[in-house]
Order: sequence, then C-alpha cells, then structure tokens
Amino acid sequence: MDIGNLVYAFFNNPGPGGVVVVTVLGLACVIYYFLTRWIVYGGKGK
Amino acid sequence: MHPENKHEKIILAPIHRVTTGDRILWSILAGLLLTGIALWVYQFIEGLGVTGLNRPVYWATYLTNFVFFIGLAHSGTFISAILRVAGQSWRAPLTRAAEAITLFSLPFGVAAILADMGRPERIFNVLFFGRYQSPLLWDFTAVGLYLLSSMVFFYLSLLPDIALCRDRLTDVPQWQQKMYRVLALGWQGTPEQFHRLERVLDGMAIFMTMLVVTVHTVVSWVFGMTVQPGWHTALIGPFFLLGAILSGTAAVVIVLSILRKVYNLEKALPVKLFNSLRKLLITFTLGWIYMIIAEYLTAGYGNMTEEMHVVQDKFTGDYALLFWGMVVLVFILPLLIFIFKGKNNIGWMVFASVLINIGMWIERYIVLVPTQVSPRLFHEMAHAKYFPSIVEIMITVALFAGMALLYTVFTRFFPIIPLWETAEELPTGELSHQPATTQG
Repeated sequence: MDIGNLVYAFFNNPGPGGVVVVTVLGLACVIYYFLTRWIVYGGKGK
Repeated sequence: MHPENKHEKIILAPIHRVTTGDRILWSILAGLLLTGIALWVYQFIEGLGVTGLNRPVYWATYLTNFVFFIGLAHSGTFISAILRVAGQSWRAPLTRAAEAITLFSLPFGVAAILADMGRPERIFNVLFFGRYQSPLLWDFTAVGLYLLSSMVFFYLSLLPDIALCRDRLTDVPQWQQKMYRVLALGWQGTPEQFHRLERVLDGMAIFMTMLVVTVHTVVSWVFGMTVQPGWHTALIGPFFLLGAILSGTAAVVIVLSILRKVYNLEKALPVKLFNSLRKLLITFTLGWIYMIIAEYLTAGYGNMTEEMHVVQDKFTGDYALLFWGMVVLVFILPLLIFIFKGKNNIGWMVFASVLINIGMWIERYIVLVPTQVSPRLFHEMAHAKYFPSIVEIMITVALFAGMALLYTVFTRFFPIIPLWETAEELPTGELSHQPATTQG
C-alpha cells in the first residue's frame, strides 16, 4: 500500500476533508452528550 | 422569588424584572438586527456589487468583523478556562459574563462569513467537497469545535444555577418555570453531581485552553498561508491570538461594568476584580506593542518591494491615519490610563477598554485591507481602492446589535454571576445552602 499516495489523495481530493469535519464535530457531540449524562446521573439512586 | 440568603437575593434580583427600559432596548436592537437581515437579503438578490468589494479586495469589512468577533469570543475562554487551569479563584464572579460573550459573539462571527459570500449556500460545499489542503477547512473544523465546546462548557457551568432558578423562582411566568425545569435536566445538587461537574469542567478547561490557541491561530492562517505581503509571516498566529485575548479581556471589563451598574451588583463585583483585570490588560497591551514592533521592524528591515508597498501605505499612505490611530487607541492611551488613572477607578478602566476595542477593530481592518489594495504581483500595475458601502456598515451594526440583544435578554433570565461558584468564596454563615462541592 502506497502511504504517500494515500496522504496525497486525502489532502488533494474534494470530499475527505468534509468527512473529517463531520467526524470531529460528530464525535465531540457524542462525547459531550455522555459527559453531561454522567454528571447529571451522579448520586442518583444512592 | 424565595432566595435563601442575601447573596442569592442580590444575584437573582435582575431575573423576573423585565422593565420598560429593557423592552425599549430590545426593540431597538431587534430593529437594527432585522434591518441588517433585510439588507443581507437585498445583497443576496443584487449580488456583492452593492458592497465596496471589488477586485482585488475580496475580504474587507465583513471579514474584519469575523476576526473581531472570534477575538471577542476568546474572553470567555481566557477568563474562565485559562484562569481556571491556573487556579485563579478571583475569576469566579466574572466567568459567566465572560463565557456569555464567547457564546453570543461566535455565531455573529460565523454570520459575518456568510455575509461575505455572494452565494452563502455554498458554505455546504465545505462539507460535501471539503479538501483538507485548504486553511478554510481547518478554520471550519476549529471554529465549529470551539462553538460546540463553548456551548457545552457554558451550559454545564450554568446547570446548578438553572436548577436553583427552578427551585427558587416560583413566582415567574409558567413558561419560564418550564424552561428552567427542562434545562435543569433534573439536577439535584448532590455532592456526587458537583464532584463530577468539577472534574469535567477542569478537564474541559485544559481542552478549551488548547482550542483557544488553535482557533485564533487557524483563523490567522487563512491569511498567513497566502503568499501576500503583510500576511505571509510566522508571527501572524501569535499576533492574532494576543490581539484576541486583549480585545476579549477589555470587552469583559465593559460588560461587567454595565452589569454592575444596571443590576446593582456592586457587592458581587467589587472594584478589586477590575484591578486584577487591569493588571492583565497592562500585560496584554505591552505584549501587543511588542508584536507590532517585531512585525513591522522585520518587514521594514527586509525592504522587499511588495512588503514595502503595504508598510508605506500603513505608515505614511492612505491608511496612516487608521494605523497611527490604532496605535494610540490600543497602546498609548490605554496604557497611560491603566497606569495613572485606572487603579480603583472603573470609569477610566471602561473608557480605556472601549478605546482598546475600537482600536482592535481598526487593527483587524488594517491587517486585511491594505494588503489587498496592494497585493503581490498586482502592486506593480495599480493601487486599488476600497471603502465600505452603507450596506456593509449597516450589516456590521446589525451584527453588534444582534450580539448585544442576545446578551441583554440572557441576563434577564439567567444569573449572570455564577451562584454556585461564588458561594464557595463567601464566609461560612453567609449561606444557608452552600453547595457541597469537592475539588476534582
């Protein structure tokens, strides 16, 4: 597998950049959702 | 309202008291915002020809607003996150007012970008055809993540106080009580909840500190990565960052002094807080002039033709008045005021902070426009002209009005001073319901 070509394709093709943006923001949403849930559930049921 | 101690009573007092003055102010601000939206629709229909933009000046007033609003947004992160990481407990009463500036200025920074686009719907091309080679995409990622993280950071630190509003403000309208109930997410204020909240906020503060550096550096790289005189310098990242923190901190002083006066928060926001901010502002002002000297001395000493066109334009040419005005407004006058008049004097502090923010807006303009008026290659052929049109000026006014509108409405429905964080600072006995927090 040619890593150089892969890196070149990532930076030079329209599309992969958008996937990165959506992944970063989507992942952040998921993490923040679970953090908020974890905080709010603290001490409940004890 | 059923506050349980004097501290709560003071801070909760502005909520549930929408006055005629508020309604008049909100109507004026909403009117300005709507005028801006109408002019933006007009610009969308007619095209960018209704602005002063023309070849080779593509980025001017709107982009100045974008950079300025992103800079203002750094106040919240700086005061709240960076000082939290540094363990500065005096920042507690200021945090929410600062974070609110972040939250309400970022959307208008993004709106300024949309205003600059002749075809705003093409913003989605960033997602559908994003190419990571482009600094614009780095910007999109960084600003998007910063906006999201700021919202979460703001909301989480507000959560215990929303629950307090839910429990204490029982005489407000039904819809308002329901809003508090929904937003409080069933918060009970247990020690474990506070412990987890502190842990998450501490962790997020470190992450936000990294984000604040990243965001404004990446914003500067939109310009710095182009091979243009005045922009293509490694110093542009730290230069933008320092300017952002300077204007953001000055904005906090202005906002806090207004809140202090209008909502009678003199006891909750004592003069010593302003003195602490004064010391920070003196440091940042000196840092800013250091950056200016380093930047222009390097460019001037190099004496490259294309760089010198821009430098001369700023020093003695068309932009000399703005350039030297900026130096006076951001450095000379504020520094003199802070040193000789600012201590224990909020009025002078506010005056200097207003000057700094006017100067910083001019600074953004000075960075953007002269370079495009004499861009690389083009400078041999001609010298372009740019002056903002009335449409650009009114949309700029609308952006500021929109931010002020959101801010003033927010302060009437939520405590602008964090009750649960400042409660820890009060002497024992002054509170009947001190939150049982533990340091994470």
